[in-house]
Amino acid sequence: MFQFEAPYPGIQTTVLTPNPLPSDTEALAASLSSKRAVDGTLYTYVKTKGGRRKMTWTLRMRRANALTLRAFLLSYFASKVRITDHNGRVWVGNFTNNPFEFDTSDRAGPATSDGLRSEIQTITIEFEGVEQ
Amino acid sequence: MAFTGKLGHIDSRPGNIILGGDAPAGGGPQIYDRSLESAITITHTAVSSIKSISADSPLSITQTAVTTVPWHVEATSALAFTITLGTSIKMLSASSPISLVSEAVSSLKEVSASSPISLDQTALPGLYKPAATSSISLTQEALIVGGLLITSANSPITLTQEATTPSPLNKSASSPISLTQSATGIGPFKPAASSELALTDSARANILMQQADSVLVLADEARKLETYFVSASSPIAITDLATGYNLHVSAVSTLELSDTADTKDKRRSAESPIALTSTAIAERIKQAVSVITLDQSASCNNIGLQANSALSLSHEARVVNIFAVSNASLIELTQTVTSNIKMLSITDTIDLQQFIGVLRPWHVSAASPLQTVTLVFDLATFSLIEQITGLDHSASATLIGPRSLTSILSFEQTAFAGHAKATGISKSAESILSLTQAAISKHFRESEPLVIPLSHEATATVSKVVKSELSTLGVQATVTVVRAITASNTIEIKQAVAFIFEQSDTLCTYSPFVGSSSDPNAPTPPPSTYPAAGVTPGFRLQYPAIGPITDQLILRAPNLGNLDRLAMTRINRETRGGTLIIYADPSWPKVETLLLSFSGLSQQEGQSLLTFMETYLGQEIRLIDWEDRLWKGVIVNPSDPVVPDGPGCKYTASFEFEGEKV
Repeated sequence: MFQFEAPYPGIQTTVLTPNPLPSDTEALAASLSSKRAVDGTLYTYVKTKGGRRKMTWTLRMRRANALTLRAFLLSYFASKVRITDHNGRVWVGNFTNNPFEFDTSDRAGPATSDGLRSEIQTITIEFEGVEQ
Repeated sequence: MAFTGKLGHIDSRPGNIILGGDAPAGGGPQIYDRSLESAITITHTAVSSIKSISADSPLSITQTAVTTVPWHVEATSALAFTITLGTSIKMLSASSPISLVSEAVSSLKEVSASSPISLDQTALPGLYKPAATSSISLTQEALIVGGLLITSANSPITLTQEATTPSPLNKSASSPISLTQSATGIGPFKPAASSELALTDSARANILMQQADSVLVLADEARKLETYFVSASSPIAITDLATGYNLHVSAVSTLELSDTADTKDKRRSAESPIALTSTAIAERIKQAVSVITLDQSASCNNIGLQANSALSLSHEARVVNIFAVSNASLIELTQTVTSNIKMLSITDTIDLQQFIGVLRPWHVSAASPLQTVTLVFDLATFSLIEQITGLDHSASATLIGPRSLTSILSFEQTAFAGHAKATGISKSAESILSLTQAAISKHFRESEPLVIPLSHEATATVSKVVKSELSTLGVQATVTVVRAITASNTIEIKQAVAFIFEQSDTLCTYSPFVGSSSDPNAPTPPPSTYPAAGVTPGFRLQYPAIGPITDQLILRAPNLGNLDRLAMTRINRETRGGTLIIYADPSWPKVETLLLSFSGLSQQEGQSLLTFMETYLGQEIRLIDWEDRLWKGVIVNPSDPVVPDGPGCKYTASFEFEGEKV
């Protein structure tokens, strides 16, 4: 279960989604600049980002669930968000992708009681945050 | 309002010193040592109800006393007070901006509240009635210390100054000043000693006038023959009269001295800060141990002078057929004067040092097993000489030379006064009193009979009998406004509640778990429910967006793979420290775009779509999606082609709709 909570720290809204698809990514936000002197000495200049990391998750969910996440993104696209990922790791950060694109890729099961057709939507979330 | 007066300091110097080794018979020590110390302390307090008032009261006091001759002392002290109290209201309107920055930190993380508090105060003329009261108290103490004349004069001077303001706008300050001066003196007087001390103090100011007359009358009478009758009456009358508008000072001080001497043995007892002890062990030996040199030339067998005092002197000499005199006297006096005025301390330290050394022995023994030889530094030759003491019956002594006996008495007085004002500027006053005494003995020869004549001559330079300098006194008034400033610091605590329902269809239904938050700046949470899809089938493009429909195009539902794009205007910055800052204003646009593609359309449907887009190009239309939900917006890419994929209903069309769901 993937859990989005916002706004942080005064969390008011929680949205649950399925776990992301494989091939999710996690990378450092720090940067490195290396310079080599004429005598061959290598100098490196590191710029850390306070432990912040960049993550991408591709979520594939039913349309009703995607609408829930869509509404969540509409409300908190610029707020600080706490995410509990599929590994139980808690991250606090912001969404960085713009725009958010919900791709209705496939069909799913029967329509739900609220009339929503059972379709599968896919969205890729880009997130930068610090693990708590 | 608090006024703090500066320290007034009077420099004092000792009086005349006459050491008369050859004083006439019947005469005692003719030492006149006078020192006058005058410590004046001023406390000037002005209290006003006006917060923005500042009062300046410069007070200048000058006092000068001059003594002409040792026996007849006349001292004139002109005491001038000048008090100027101007209009204290310099600022009828005063603004006192006080800014306080208070930072409050909430218990919640990352919550900081800053509470700038700014106070502006404005004083209007008509709102305040200035009333200032200034009281100045002066305490003056004069002390005359001498060998035989000890006069201590205490002159407490009290100044009381009051300033009142009758009206709010004009402030007239009247300062009544009352002075009280008293002088007392105690000390024995030598016969035939008359001393008249006239003091005249005159002080004038705009609102102060002081007239002080001080007459010191000393009368000593000694009768001749063998009866010593010493009668000294020294009434000292000091009358200070000051008249003025607000000043009336009257001081009367009487000093009475009595001295009685018997016929043969003469004894004097004096109660004084200076004690004299004289003991004659043998007739031939005259010994004086004192800060003040004693001259014993009377033909009496024994002369005793004894006095009880805090100053103790000891002198011991022994004579066993060898004339040896050694004197060593170290006198230290410490005088401390403490003022009763706060933040003012005066300390007078008087150090007296007397050293008497015998440079050479009176007798030199040629050989004696009982002699001891010590090295003594000879000031005359600046060399170490041998000093031989001891007994030798068979010694033949010769006088080496004239003797010189030097007694150096150094008298130093240093007074330091420190005044810590409100403004933190310290003042220091220094009073140095120097006294030099030199005693030179005359020749002494062994061949002279039993009586050892000891001639003691002392000369003293009258430095200044009475000197009283009162430095300029400055009174500064500082205004200290004490306000009760209340600082409020509001800490906002925001509360949010979030929850999760554990239910099986959470991932299959529209189910955001929306709690509550007390933060008014929190983003608007998503709606808890999502409107159910309608029952009307078909994908419809209608015109106009609002109002009755005038034109409509019905298509089949779009293909799978349609995109629902959310593009928000958002600032994404990264600080130098690497912190990611993301901000979006709620008023900034949020663009929702639907990318739809349709396939399996007939040619007519394709043409109808092109016609619809052409007709309402750039106009807002209404879109009812395949779930019967209403959107309002514009088709932004009318150039997308309608492509026939094959014969029949194989037309494919697509467009991009940018709008918002109604």
